[in-house]
Amino acid sequence: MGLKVHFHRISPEVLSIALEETSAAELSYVAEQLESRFSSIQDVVFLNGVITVFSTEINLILNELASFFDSMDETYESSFRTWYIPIWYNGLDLLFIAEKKGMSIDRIKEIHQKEEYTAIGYGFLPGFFYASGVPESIDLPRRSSPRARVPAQSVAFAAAQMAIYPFETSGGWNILGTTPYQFFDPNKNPPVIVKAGDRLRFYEIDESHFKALQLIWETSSDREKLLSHVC
Amino acid sequence: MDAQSAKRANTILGNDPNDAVLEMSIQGGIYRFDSPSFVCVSGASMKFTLNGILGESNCMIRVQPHDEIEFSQASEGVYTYLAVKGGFKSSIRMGSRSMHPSLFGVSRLKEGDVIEYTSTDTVSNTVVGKTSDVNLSSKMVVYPGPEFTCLKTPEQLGEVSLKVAGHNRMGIRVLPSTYFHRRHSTIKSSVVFPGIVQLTPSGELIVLHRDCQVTGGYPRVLLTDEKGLNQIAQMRQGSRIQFELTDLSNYLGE
Repeated sequence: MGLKVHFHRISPEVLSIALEETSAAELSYVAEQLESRFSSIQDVVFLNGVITVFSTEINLILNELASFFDSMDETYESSFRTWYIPIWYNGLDLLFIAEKKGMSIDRIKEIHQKEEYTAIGYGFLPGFFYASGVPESIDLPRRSSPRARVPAQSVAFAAAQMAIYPFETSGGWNILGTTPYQFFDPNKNPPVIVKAGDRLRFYEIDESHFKALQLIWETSSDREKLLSHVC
Repeated sequence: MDAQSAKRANTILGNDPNDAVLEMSIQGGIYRFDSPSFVCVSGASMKFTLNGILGESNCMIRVQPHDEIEFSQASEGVYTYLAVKGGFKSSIRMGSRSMHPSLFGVSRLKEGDVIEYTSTDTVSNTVVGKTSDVNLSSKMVVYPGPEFTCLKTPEQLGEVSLKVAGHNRMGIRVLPSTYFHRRHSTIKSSVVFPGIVQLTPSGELIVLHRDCQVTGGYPRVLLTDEKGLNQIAQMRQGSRIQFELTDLSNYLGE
């Protein structure tokens, strides 16, 4: 019983906890439990097997945290949903990816759509989720120098991870295309729909379809429904 | 960015240290008050006048309806703060009044914008302001970060004068660091926070600041503390800085 963890104190108020053999869904579940059980924890960030806790009272709760992980039950029910994300393959790096991989653009698109991806956690910017599952056959490292401007809602990948840029920002990932859906809305609670552990599937749309879906998304009162099937 | 100066302005007014203040970076502006209150200016030295009369920083100043405060440019440092009694009552998104562009769509005020505050004629506290103590020293304390071993020659860190090369609310770039660069190893995206110093593949050091991302893929080679963050925030592009590597246990208080 209990979870095997390693504590790593990074700063007086930041403690990283590495979990052995864990999944994104488990990490998300443990992070939720931590936030609800410890009122002195101000923030929790989880990604790639590590949960990081921000608290001004870490010294006071260290022992309690250790017992929390000791008593943590591994048998929790994990559930996930599958979301269908439209993509217009107009990415700035599409040709670069195809050339680098010695494949046609059509083949890159095909491989990208065939795969199912798993959301593994949030990071970088508000609403930016990481997803695993990028097939090796199309995978590339981060660009050697980041682009100053990555368009909002770009679908991009690097180093085996896939993501959607919620805003225009600088970024070093390889851009495949754009989705008409905006995955972060600060006026909604919660401001995001996709949860760690959820599955993602991409399907191709063209420019006119993109414009239509963009409008539908903006005015939709049920965005989960739009994401639940191919539109 | 310089939280210490922002807090000082709030403290002098008897505000909560986290009350919203107005932050000016190098460039000032003109602000008109529509109701009576008290204000305080702190941070980078910036000349300002109240209805044409030269004002003093780090003290409480009474303002009346139609009064105008005009700021010129900062003569030294980067960030100057204007606090108002009770704090500015700008809109709140996700528990914060901070104008982050991803939440508010804009990151700065423009001419004609109106910000609410609570009008008050009386003031109960009598905190005496002290002269500005913006830290303009060129030495900044750093501690080993989680991927400290990605630095090639950490022992030489304290001997090299580095240049502040770029400045924004997410991070401050420091050059040259190619010198310290070990063969680049990317790490799995992991947590970052204000104070973490990243080493990029091209050999720059980035001191992550108040509005930094929450995760990143570059090695987290160093770390600075609250004092270091406030200090580097006030350093202009082109200024020189020297890192003083200190044992992490000093920071953790072990």
